[in-house]
Amino acid sequence: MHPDTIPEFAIVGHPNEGKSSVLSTLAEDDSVRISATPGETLVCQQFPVIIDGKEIIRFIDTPGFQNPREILHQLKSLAEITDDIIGAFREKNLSNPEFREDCELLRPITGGAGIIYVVDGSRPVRSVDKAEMEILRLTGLPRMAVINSKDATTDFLEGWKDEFRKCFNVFRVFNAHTANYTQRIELLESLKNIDQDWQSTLDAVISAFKKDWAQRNRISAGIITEMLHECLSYKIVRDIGDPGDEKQMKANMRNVYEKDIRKIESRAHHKIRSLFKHNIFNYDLPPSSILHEDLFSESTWKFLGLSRNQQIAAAGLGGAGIAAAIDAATFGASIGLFAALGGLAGATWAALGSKGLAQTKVLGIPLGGREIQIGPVKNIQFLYILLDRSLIYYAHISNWAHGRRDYDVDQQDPDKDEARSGYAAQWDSGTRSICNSFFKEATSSNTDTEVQLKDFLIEQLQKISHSEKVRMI
Amino acid sequence: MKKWHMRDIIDLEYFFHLDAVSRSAEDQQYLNERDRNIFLETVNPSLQEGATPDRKHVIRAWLNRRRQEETAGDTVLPGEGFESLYSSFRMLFVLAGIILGGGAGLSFLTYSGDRPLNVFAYLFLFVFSQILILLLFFVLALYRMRQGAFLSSCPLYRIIGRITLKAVIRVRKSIATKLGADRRSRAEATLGLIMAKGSTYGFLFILPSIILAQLFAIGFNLGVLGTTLFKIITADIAFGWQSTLQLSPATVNALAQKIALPWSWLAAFDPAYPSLTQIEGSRIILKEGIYHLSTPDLVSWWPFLCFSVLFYGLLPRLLLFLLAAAAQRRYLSRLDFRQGSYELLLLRMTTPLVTTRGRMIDDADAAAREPEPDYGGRDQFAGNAMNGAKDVLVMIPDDIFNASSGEKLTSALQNGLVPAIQRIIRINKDYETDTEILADLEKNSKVAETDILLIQEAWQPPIAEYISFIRNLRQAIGPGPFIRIGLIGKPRPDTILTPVKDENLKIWARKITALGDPGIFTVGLVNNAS
Repeated sequence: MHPDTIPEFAIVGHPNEGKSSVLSTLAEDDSVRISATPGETLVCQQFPVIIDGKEIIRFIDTPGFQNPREILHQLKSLAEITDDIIGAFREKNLSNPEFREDCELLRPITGGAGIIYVVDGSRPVRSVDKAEMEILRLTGLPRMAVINSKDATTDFLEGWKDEFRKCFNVFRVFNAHTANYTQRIELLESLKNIDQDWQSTLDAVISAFKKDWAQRNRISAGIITEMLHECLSYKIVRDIGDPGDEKQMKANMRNVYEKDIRKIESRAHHKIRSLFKHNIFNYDLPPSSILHEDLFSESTWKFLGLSRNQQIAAAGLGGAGIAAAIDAATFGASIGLFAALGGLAGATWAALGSKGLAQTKVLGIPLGGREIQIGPVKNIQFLYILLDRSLIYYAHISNWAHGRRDYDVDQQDPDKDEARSGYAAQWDSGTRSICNSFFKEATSSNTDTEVQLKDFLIEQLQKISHSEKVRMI
Repeated sequence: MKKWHMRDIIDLEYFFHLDAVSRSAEDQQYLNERDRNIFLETVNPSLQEGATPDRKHVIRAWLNRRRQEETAGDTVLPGEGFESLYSSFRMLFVLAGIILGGGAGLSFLTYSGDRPLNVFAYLFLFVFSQILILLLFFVLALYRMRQGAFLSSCPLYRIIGRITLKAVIRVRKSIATKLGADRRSRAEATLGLIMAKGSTYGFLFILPSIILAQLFAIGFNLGVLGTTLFKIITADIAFGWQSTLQLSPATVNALAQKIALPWSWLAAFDPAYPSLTQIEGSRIILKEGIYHLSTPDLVSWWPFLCFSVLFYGLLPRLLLFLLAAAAQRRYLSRLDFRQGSYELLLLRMTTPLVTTRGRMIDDADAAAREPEPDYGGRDQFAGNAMNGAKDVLVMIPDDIFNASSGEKLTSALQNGLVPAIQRIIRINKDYETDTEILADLEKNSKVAETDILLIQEAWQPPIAEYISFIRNLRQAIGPGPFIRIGLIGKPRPDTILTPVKDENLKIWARKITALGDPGIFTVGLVNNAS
């Protein structure tokens, strides 16, 4: 390969093995067309990696092999007359419609592209596959095999590995449907091993990917902190016209207040989503995710945030009155109370504690009228719930492989697990004290606590990115 | 027995299409049960023990029952729709012919009195042009017959075919890349279906357009003849002849005599053509004017002109119409209903339903003691009373024909899946071996007497290589034998005979339908139930 040319990697394989899925996940591009019907990809498509406006490497999605055995047959006879067998094969068959896809897929290979051969490890090796591997071996190009299992069957994995040992420099398992950031980086790392010439370029790509990811985490942490700040300090004030309407008005204002908070939260989540280049996924989340529960619903408050004891401790640490904490913890978390107050003020509101989530104040009479104010929130649990929801959302979004398009399967049901599902309940007292300070200062403009919380969040997001298996809750 | 009509064929194809749309294993089971029940309720009661039911009778019974089921409510079946459209088209074409012919006749025969109407112009317009069209038609028909293939060389079909082909090529180039694979394969399957019908029914589906053309021509000639006679009765029309070519009256007389050959031998049509004197008397010479021409000579032409239209325009068209109608009847009465869909239907109807559960399908020893397992493919091979019990040549891909699974597969096949295995061929080893196998089959004339069962793992995508092997196989063995693609699912450690996933069944069925060969079809070898 010429040193000035951009390294290319052609993703090749049998039809319907998930080449496009692998690429979609690797390139974080969910616009790649993927279908269960074989033969979705008909022409090569380039996926350049551009760093600072400069194209560094290029991945190429190709159609699947259509005539592997005949190609092999022809290549063998061509080998007797020429060294460039792939080029000669393409020249010979370019106008033959039977070989249209084959010629197209061999196009990047004639240009000296590195080969990433994708197979579905959940099915047995067949003679067509062996022919394909032999063709790729005959190209003499650096090559790596990727096992992308379409289902959980592992019976055939060893068979594949045996075959790969004969024809490939490197092979690794990469499931396009579950691979996350870490596995993407690992795949790129192994790509370095197929040709020394590409190592430095790939190093640059990997380093850029890592920086980019860290940057996304920083921005996400900023978005979350900002959202928390906005939610915790949010209040609405209205004039009371007719004193008789006070009760009705309070109820209406509570509705408006909840709606506004939900809006602030979802705006922040959408910002995170576009940061991770998801266009199709999560418009909504997996159907059984706890994030489908309303922010103010009973089960959200049951499974997310802090446990009862943690809440009492948090209230104490935060300097709030112990009585209020017990009040929130014992009564607020008690299902009986939810039921009792449900009919009166709506179950969701009741879930926020006996005094409600935010204080409702009737203010003085400045100009002959009275005002009602709702907010800001005085229940610290609310902060933890918002945090938990944001982190869960982040985990979903940052870990959802772009090649995965089955948005409606196999999510665990949070109701089956009586324990708290969020992250907050696992935090140590130091972390909680950061949160508590932030909560206390939320209405003031103290930036120190905000910076502290943000740093903690960046660390937390990195941890989620690197975790082996992310809890999809 | 009741006659077959176009509407019957159309409805049958429509019902087959409905059945083919859903090809999952459950749907297949449903079809088996439905058709078997129709047979038991309609045909079986009147059938004597051991007698072979008449193929046409069985199909007629099925059609009647399916029509009853489908016409609940206001549904109009396509057959009926076609029939009513066709009959109103026939009327319309005759009427259009009459109006056009009448109109042309009237405008031509408008005679101002200062110059006689030119006989040659009348002949060219209403007689020679028709003869020319007829000649063209016959030349093309002859050419077609010489070619042997009715449909592929029929000009109409060729035009349609070429347009379709062009469209397909264009679609492949521009849209195919944008269309999803699913929709693309569906479109290809539909195209294949139309092609398959073409080769199944020959020019049966071309005849209606030929008949309509004749009806139009009959109407046209009636119109011309009618207006000519009407004008002759109601107006004083003079016919004369003139030509710059300086034709002598004798030449014109000889020409008229030749034209009049078809009717001159009939005494009733005497005089068949104007005499030499009459021809001389009706010659128009511009500088001499027309006043010297005598009236009897000027009117002597009209019987000749009317006979010309009758014998060269109307009668040939009538004859062609009758021939086409007779051909249609003959075609319909001679349909043997032996194509793929009919075979499958008859097998479904005549094969007893067997359902068993709870037995490993490769447990060969158990076969002697227990009922047979529920092979989906079995009903495709049973019912041989009507199928001529052909031997089956089984083709098994090298991948699944290794020591253990090959043996199990063979024993499973012999244990009831295939009635009589003629031999088993191992295919798909490599390109060279496959080419040799096909060459051997081509040389072997006995192959034409066997059907073929090609085992295929349906989870493998139908790549071009597999499809072209099937196409080449058809070429090698000729058009007679059925090629069944016996589909199996992903292997399990204990067996390779597993049921096929619905989506894979559909993908293969579409790909095979797109081949446009009614004698090649897919069969799921193992039912879900087993």
